Amino acid sequence: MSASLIFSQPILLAALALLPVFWWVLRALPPEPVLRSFPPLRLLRNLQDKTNSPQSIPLWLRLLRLLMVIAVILAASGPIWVPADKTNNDKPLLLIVDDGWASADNWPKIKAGVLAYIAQSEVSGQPVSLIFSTKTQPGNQKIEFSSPPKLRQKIKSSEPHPFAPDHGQTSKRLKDASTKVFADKDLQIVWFSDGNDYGQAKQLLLQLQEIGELQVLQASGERAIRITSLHSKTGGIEIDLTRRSANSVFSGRIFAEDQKNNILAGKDFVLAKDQRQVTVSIQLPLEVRNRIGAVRVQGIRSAAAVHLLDQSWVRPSIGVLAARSRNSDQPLLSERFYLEKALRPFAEISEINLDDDNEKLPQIMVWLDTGKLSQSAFARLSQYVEDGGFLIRFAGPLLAEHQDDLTPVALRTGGRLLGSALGWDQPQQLAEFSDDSPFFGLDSTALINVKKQVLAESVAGLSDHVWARLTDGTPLITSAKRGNGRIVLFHVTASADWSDLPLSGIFVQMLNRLLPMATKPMSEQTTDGKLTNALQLQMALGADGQLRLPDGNQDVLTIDEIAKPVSSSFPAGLWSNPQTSLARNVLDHLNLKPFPSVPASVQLRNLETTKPLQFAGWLLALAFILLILDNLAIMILAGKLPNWRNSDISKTAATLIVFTVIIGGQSLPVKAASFDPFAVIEQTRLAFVSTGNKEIDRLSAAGLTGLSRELYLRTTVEPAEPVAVDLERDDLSVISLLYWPLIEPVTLSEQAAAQINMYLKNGGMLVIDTQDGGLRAISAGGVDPALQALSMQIDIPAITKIPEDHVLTRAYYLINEFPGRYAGAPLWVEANRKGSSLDGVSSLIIGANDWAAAWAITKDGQEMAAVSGEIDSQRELSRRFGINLVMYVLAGNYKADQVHIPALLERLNQ
Amino acid sequence: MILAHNKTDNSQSFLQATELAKRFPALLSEARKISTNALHGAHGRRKRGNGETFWEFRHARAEDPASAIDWRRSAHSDALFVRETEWEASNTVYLWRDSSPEMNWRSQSYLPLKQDRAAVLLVALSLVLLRGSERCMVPGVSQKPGTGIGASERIAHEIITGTSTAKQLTQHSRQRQAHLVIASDFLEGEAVWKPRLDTIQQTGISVILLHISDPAEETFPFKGHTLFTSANGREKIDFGRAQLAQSAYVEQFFTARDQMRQLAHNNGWMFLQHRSDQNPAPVFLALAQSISNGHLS
Repeated sequence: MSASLIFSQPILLAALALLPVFWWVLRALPPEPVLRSFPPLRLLRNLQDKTNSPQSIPLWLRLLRLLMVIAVILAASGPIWVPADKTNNDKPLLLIVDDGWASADNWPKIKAGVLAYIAQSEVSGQPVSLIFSTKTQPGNQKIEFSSPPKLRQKIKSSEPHPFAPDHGQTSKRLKDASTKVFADKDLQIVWFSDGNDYGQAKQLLLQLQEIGELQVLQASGERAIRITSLHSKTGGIEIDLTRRSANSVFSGRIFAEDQKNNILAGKDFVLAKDQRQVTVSIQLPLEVRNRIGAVRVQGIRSAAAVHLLDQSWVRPSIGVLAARSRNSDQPLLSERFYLEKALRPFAEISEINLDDDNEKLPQIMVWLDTGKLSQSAFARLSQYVEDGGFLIRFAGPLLAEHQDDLTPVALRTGGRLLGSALGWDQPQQLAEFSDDSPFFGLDSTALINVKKQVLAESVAGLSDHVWARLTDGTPLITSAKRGNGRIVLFHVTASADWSDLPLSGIFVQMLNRLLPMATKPMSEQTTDGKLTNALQLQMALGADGQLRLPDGNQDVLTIDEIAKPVSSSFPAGLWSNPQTSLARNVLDHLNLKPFPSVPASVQLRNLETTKPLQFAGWLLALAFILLILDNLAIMILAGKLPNWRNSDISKTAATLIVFTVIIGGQSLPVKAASFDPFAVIEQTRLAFVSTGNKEIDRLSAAGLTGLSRELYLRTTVEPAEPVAVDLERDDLSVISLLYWPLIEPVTLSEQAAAQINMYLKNGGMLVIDTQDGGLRAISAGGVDPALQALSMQIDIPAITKIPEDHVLTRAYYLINEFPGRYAGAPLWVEANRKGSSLDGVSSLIIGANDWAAAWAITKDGQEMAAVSGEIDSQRELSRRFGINLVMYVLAGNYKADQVHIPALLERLNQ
Repeated sequence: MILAHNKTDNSQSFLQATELAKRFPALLSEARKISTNALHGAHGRRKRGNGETFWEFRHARAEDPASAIDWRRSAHSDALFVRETEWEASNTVYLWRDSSPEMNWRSQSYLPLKQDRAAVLLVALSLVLLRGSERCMVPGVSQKPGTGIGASERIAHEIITGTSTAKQLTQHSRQRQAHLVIASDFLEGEAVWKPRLDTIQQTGISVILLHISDPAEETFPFKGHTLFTSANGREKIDFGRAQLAQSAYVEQFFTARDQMRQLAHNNGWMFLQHRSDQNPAPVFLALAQSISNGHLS
């Protein structure tokens, strides 16, 4: 068919018939009178009768209003412009829509496309049938031709589902229908495919081809990004992303969120042309990683672009075997205490009583030196390890005496004593970790002073099981697989009795390395049927990737269902029972294949290029513009238009223009010179860090300009105009004073951080001004967050509140306050006055008084910002401080020497 | 375009007075500007007498006390001279500003209110008069006449914020040999004003009528369907096409003004007219001149 104009609500066009009535009404209604106060009213009384026939609306205004009404009527009837395509609309139409999660991102387009086809068939009077390909409720499966309004309602109220389309079932439904509904009809079929093959796409394709002329519409797959897998690795997580097609570059961002949708971390990624897959790794401290609830690709509305994580993944639960502790009267010395201290931030720790059969064993069990277990408990623990459990064991006097076979290596009876009064050996330290040890890379230089340990029998193959050794080569930590599980043995106690290991940081690091080894997805753990309670849906994942409260139509999830893909009964989301939780994602267990190549007789077209144009909005916009014109016209007719020559409005406008010119003019002259190292060498120049925030940079430039002028007027320092410095790019080595307005945390590149460190070391001075009067520091509880962030990145020496006799207080003027715009915030200088290489001159000055604002002047020398007025002559004092600052930078501790003048004079006299 | 005060009850007039008081400094300074620019020392009795300004030297006579002799002048010649000063006797001038709601109006926001313009002219006049040692009074408002430049603030305040009715005007301006300046738009018409002026005329007081008008009142620049309301908002007149009424209205307006002028001239009084979009200086000059020359000598 050719391109055509279609109305989705054609009945409303009947309203056009009312236009003549409207025309007549417009004629009859006179314009509204203007209300005017007029004192000489008495004089008007006699004139009243002559002029009382009101003016009627002029013709052009009536036409304009008519046009406005026409535009509104047309807009309401929903016109759609359908571009020409090759389909015939003289056959019954069958529309198949994939409404799974993969369509969510393109749903509005699909809806519009379906509506356009419905409208098209309505015009040509052909029957239409619309079916969705996801597995639906049994009652809803009937395939039949229905009326366009009904179908319109159907598509408008439909939403994509958070599970995959079932093409097999669709195919079956079609087969049933083809004998009854479609019998001996030549169909035109349009399949709005989501571009994925869930197994039976080929079958459906062939079947459709048989019953009619098939056209497949697909959205482009550039944005169809899926999170295929996610796994943890040391120091972070790794996410594998795949997209359906790769014809163009895609750059996006991936976020890790916690359960409450707070963003924990993000990382940009780029998929190059022809690149379908990428692995993104996000560096995260373990504590943060544990809080991750979901990983999400930004801006993609699809359930596949979200990967939910359950508790079992992020926060391993650890069971500690309950025991009658010998040290229960001294809880701070018990082994349990050290263990909990080390593990509590990263794991849930619970006490497990093996004799209680109802107790579920977590992923990791820790067995402290509690002595022999009961027969049944021991058997249960052995079974647990065989079944894939992870057992961490600590040695101790009891283990040394009574061995059992739940150790990775055979042990010698009796402990080994080192460094005692009678012993030969010194307490032993850690040897370097070998590269096949999971601890490889940890710092082994920590002093752990092993005084006592249990020894492994030296048998062949012992070294395969050793993860950590002492310097004399004896094993400290050994490990072995046992069945599906693993046993790890620390050859010392978990308390500080035998070694200092539990006191050292490396103990925590070692345990942190162990925990991920034990964590496995819940589904794997539960395949052996250990999961006894069925799970209930807590939060459902929508097709658009948002978490919602479930609507209650879901069943409880039993073990058998876990290994199946998500469906309408068992949708994606967070499932839980009192013991555990389980995240189900739409891609889990789903065998996803690329869409099969279509036969030549089938048209495969891009959804975007067939998009029909709905221009109701444009018509409404036109009506709105006409409405504005109409109002203007009424004002003109009523004489209400202001007198532009001499009215307030023109004055206001003129004022505005003048103001703009002034402001604009003001912002220009105080622009700082761009950075040129030679210019800085030739003439003294003050410098400031360009923050990228225009307003702040402008004030910094103006502030240093003001300070430069004061210096010029009052001292022999005659600086040229200040320079803006880009920390990432410019060479700092030529700058003597660098003013840094630090109002928000900055992230420096390593190179920039190194340069600043070098700058500070080589005699530069950095003046950091948080410009908030110290408020952020107070609200953050002591330390300004921006400063804190900065101190992570550059070497900030120890600082102290400025001492009363600091040279800064007398470098030029005698001052004891350091105000800027504010006056109250303290000033911090380097604490060690003698220690630095700079002859005790502080290389760092930190304050919050917003000095730039107080110094700032315009081109005309006007002060730009008000000062708070907390102290008398605050502006003057702030300038004096500025001058002192520059003098301090340039002359160093020169003034400090003057304290010796009396002594020197005395000496001269002698 | 703006009309603020439509009602004339007490609270409304109190508000109005407050409003006026707010503008007092601005109006006072404007009046000062006009008074200094327009008339500087152009006022005196033109004869010798008690005063501060030098008038003439004359030869000393036998009855003159020695202390009266101006020794400095006398040293120039052999004769003795006495320094005479100009006579500066004071007279009372009543200043009345119409405070009816019609006066509180302007057709464009950049124009002054009629009452403001009237107040400015009267205050300027009072400044000149007080400087010239005359006495000034606002009928119905001032408790006692103001004398000397020290009273200028009070009189100015009374002119600007005082609300004196026409009745107070006729009752309080009763001193013979006094002068009365009436600043008003006289929109009530000759029929209303004639009895009032007749009452005043009987006291033999000499009167100056100062007619203040807004440009829109003279030109009637309105077009289209317009609903005119009175200053108090109670009366409304609807005009289908206001432009058709223009010429007839203008004629009426000038007739009414000429009637007032005629009324003044019949009594031998001055009639001055002023439009609020014009510079106030010329009319003030005329006002001041007519008081100092025509009436007070």
